[in-house]
Amino acid sequence: MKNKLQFCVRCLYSSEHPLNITFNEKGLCSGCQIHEEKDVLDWSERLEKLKKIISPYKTKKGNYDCIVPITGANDSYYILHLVINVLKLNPLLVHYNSYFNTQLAIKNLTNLRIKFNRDIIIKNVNPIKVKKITKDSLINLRSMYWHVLAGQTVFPVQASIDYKIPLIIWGAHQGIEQVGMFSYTQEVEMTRRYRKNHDLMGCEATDLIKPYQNLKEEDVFEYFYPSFKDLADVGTKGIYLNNYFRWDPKWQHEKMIKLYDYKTSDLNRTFDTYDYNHCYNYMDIHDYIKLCKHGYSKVTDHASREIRFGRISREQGLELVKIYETKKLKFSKLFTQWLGIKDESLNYLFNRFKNPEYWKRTNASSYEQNLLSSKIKISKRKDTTKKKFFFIKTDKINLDSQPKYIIFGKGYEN
Amino acid sequence: MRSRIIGSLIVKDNIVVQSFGFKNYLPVGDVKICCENLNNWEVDEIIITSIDRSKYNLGPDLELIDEVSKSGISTPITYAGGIRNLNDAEKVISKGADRVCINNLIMTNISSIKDIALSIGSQSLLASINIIKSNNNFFWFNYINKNLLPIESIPLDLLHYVSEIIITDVNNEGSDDKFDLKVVDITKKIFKKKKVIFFGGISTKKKTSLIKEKIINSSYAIGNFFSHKELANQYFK
Repeated sequence: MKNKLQFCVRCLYSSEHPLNITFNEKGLCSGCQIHEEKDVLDWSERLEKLKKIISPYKTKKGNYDCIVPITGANDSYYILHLVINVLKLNPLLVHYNSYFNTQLAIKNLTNLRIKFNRDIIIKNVNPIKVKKITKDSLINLRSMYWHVLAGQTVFPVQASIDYKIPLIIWGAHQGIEQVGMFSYTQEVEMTRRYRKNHDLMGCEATDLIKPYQNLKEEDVFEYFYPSFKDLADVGTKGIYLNNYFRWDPKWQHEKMIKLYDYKTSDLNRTFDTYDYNHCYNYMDIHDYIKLCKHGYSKVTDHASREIRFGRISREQGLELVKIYETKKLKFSKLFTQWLGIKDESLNYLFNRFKNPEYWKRTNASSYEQNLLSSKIKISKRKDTTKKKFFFIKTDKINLDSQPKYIIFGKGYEN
Repeated sequence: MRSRIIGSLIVKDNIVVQSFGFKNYLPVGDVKICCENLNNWEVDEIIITSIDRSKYNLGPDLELIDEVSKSGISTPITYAGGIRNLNDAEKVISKGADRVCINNLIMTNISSIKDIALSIGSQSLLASINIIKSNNNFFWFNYINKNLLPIESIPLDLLHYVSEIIITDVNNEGSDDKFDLKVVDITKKIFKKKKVIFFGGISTKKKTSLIKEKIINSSYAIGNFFSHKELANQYFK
């Protein structure tokens, strides 16, 4: 039974949000309702609570107290800043190599390692297997990013088991920040169920192995989630910092630029220069596939977040969405070359992914867009008070060279 | 006697939600994946309650039951929501649910309960009673029209036809362990020695122990809390 399309009265999210969303009787979405807690909760009290939670995990000097997963972008600097300087923990950093690294990703990751001076382990899955998985997930799961999402979310848990470090500290829980899946006070922790349901689009590594299909256990075992027995034996517990700190990515990144020289860059399909500059694909092909399947793209997430923080109006947000969501891809050639497929094959898949709710086929190869942004109604009262709003840009994602994936990168000199 | 720990999934608009006091809802996720997870945790039973089926007279969500029962989980499934008559109850069982739970039917079609019990067996039939506190008094709560009815109006013939009764503390549903023990006292008074499953704001072993002190053979349904932590069922062992 299909539900009637509904838009939030405050942000730009609709009832079609793939993470699921609810609305109260006033038409306010669950994400906006939970966002209001940011201005109501006593965050200093919550920090004290966190300090009590982590206290049993502090080990003798020199041992690792916790695991911190990092990408180099997406709040990595801020998470480490909090873990090391505020919580006074000694983290072991873990990083999953996506192979889609930009030059800027390597620069930021190197700088992070120098500035925070911590040990890091990097997971490099055999690139041949990664390509095989990517081909499979692209066709069968309609995702070119499954291996990254799976790797980033499983490797820290595997490291917890392997190194017997029970505490994993994540940044923000996306289910909370986007759609208000939980109250901050519920102090939700990492779960295998959430990972499968929302991070991995309902498909764990074990689900990729099917009779008469391309992928075998030896191709995907690196992405297997540890057993419940292993988790229970080690006592693995993954906590999210956004339950204890007032999470504001824009403010946080700007603080990191000042404190640690975090580098930022323009991204083709969003106004936010901070979040995803580590990857050629997240804000490019991956984002376009999201638009094909769900009728909206990451810029709607960014705009909704900024609306909730009151930095832009709903009208401004919608304008930004309309500017960015239809921008042409810049790096698809890099992907087709890396994967060894023709550009036409990728375009064929894009068309196959197009949801008829949002894309009306007009002839063999062209589509008329009917995206969610075109269905949002804005109040007739004209918005005359456009708010000042900018994101800092320090670099380009490919720095000064030609765009190319940095498969293994040691660093870049300033 | 070991108490049964049951996973309770509240379904609204086709997704599992966190429910708070029958008023506010937050999204959780896919029903099948939530069931799979509870099955992997080896909970004793899963109760799926589709809360919008009776309200809109949609009947039971047979598609959902079919999908869940075909997903290969071995944990017994109880389905509640939208059951209007014997025919609906039989369809729910035929689609793969192990037990059927009725709530609105107790208020709207009490005579059909006997027929259902005779057809599917009273061991496969549960009743759900919502208890609400208002002005320091407890009432039987009709979640559809929000009416408060006297506790005494609960038809006790019901006890002959159902194997267990789910008692929900409406005020504290979704809360962090605020289940009101007075609800247990009322239950004991009305339902005597009937087997009861308590639900609504139970999230610690301590709370289940306190309930057990009052009713030894009681079981506990856990809702929101089971989506907050990995292996959250271990908190009750």
